[in-house]
Amino acid sequence: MRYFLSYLFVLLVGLAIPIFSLYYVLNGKGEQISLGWFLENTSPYMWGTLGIAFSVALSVVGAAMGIHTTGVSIVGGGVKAPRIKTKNLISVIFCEAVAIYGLITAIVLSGMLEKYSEPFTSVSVKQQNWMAGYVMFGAGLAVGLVNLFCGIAVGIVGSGAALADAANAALFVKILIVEIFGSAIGLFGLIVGIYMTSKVKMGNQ
Amino acid sequence: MAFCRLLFPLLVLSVASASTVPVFLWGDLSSSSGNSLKSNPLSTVSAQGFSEILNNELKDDPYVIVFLEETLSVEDFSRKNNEGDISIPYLYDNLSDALYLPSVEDASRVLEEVAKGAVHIKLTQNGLSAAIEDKNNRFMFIALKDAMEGESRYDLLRRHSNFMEDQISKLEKKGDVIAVYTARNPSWTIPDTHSRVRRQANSSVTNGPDYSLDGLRLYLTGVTLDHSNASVTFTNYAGGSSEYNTTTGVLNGTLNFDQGSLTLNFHRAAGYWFFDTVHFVQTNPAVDEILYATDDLNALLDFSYRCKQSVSFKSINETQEYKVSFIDIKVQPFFGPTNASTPFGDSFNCVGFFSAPIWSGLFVVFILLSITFYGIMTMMDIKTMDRFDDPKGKTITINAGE
Repeated sequence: MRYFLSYLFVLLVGLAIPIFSLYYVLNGKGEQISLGWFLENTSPYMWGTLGIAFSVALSVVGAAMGIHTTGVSIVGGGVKAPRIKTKNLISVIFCEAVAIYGLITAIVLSGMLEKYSEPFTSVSVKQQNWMAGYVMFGAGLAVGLVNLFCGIAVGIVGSGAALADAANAALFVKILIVEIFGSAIGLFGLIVGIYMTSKVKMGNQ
Repeated sequence: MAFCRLLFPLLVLSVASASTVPVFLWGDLSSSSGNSLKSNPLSTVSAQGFSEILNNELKDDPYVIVFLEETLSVEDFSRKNNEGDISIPYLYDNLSDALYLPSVEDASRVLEEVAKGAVHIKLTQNGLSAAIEDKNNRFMFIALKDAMEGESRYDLLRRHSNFMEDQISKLEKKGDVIAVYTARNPSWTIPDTHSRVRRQANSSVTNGPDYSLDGLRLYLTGVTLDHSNASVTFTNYAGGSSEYNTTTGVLNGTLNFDQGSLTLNFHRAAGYWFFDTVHFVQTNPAVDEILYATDDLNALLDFSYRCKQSVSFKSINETQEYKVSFIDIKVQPFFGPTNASTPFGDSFNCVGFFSAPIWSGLFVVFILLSITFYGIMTMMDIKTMDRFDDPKGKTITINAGE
């Protein structure tokens, strides 16, 4: 079923996009398909709120997938080797940390979302608001995607760690180092996101 | 276009609702009104006033019969045929105990409101739709809809007069009877404007709305100049000239009017043409100003610009502000030779098929839908551990220490 849906989707998109594009191009109106016009005329509110949504949503998806993977292994391995259950909660905590990074970024970005009033007093006010929208989108997307993949990675490593620990208790501490490196990349995303948001200034000034 | 279709019925309705009809009441009217209010030719009785008059007449609870013509006006009462006979002689006979209001607003509606439990019957070419005598109500509306084709108005009114006389004579046994003769709409309307006023002849622009020059196609309904709170329309177009350079892509078209000459400057760049400035030159008083567009006016090279009702150009110098507005403009510079029959290119209406909000909506919906379907697909992929499932075997029990 999933293949059927994906093929159907690709087919529809593959029909719609050429038809629309060719209509414009063959009528000499090709210039009207303009990404620059789209970016200039869409509201910075949309970009900003999309950024906030992506930062928390994608981070949580990453954390969820990681906890799913590692949790399943802990539960399964813990049946025969119950001693692993307490120590391996660290993996779960590393996975959850990426969700917290996403949450922090979303809260910081939400604080920067301000209202502006439409007849702009000067062009620089409009430029600032537009840049704020784009920066918030970029920051949110960056943090979200980074945390998504970080969470998946930490989860898979944690799952392996749990099963190895169940087999041989001496292995756990070394595998934990791999997890720490995996978690650090999530931190990179948070740093970049917070750094970008220092440029954001929305509002009427 | 849809706006026109909506406007016309509204106009008709407004005219219809503002019209008045005469109302003729006769019969056993209350004696007070018989003396004081014979007729009121000088003013229109409002609907509320008519309602009060009716309530006054009807306070003795008489039997009321209302004859409703399709259309009736004051002129019908004095209509005569070729021999000089009047059209509604029955009413003339009853003039002594009658109340005539030549102009009442909304008479039929007020009658409907005052009438409680009224019976509506119709007089058609086949006769009355129901007999009058066998009803027990106090109000009767008879709609007189028996007009015959080719019949003159005089004949119709005469016939109705005879009919009313017949009906009233049959109603003597009902006690007090009041009869009302009126209509829903007036039959004679005078359109209320169209009186010619002599005005100083406004010398109209001789060239009409098409001001095409060589290399430029231009359509305008007018040009106005706003300067120091005075607005002046440019008149008496005295021709124009243009110069263009096809290689560099520059075109200047000059239009000469009584009030001065306007030079429109266009240039071409990167597949677009731009309408940059208007150079306004006037000799008396001497003015020589370059005016800049209030908002960017450009279109693709083979397209004409047709966006707003009026496009204006203003001077930057704020001490003496000049503003030239082109009303209803459609313009396209060709940067090459043309004549008045060169067709305009496709018009650029500043509104595309998908607007920016539509695009952003589609974008967000696309994201949400892809998330949804990805989620559904992953959930369908979840495989729980079923290696140790054994429906027939013993379930695993774990002894938790007490």
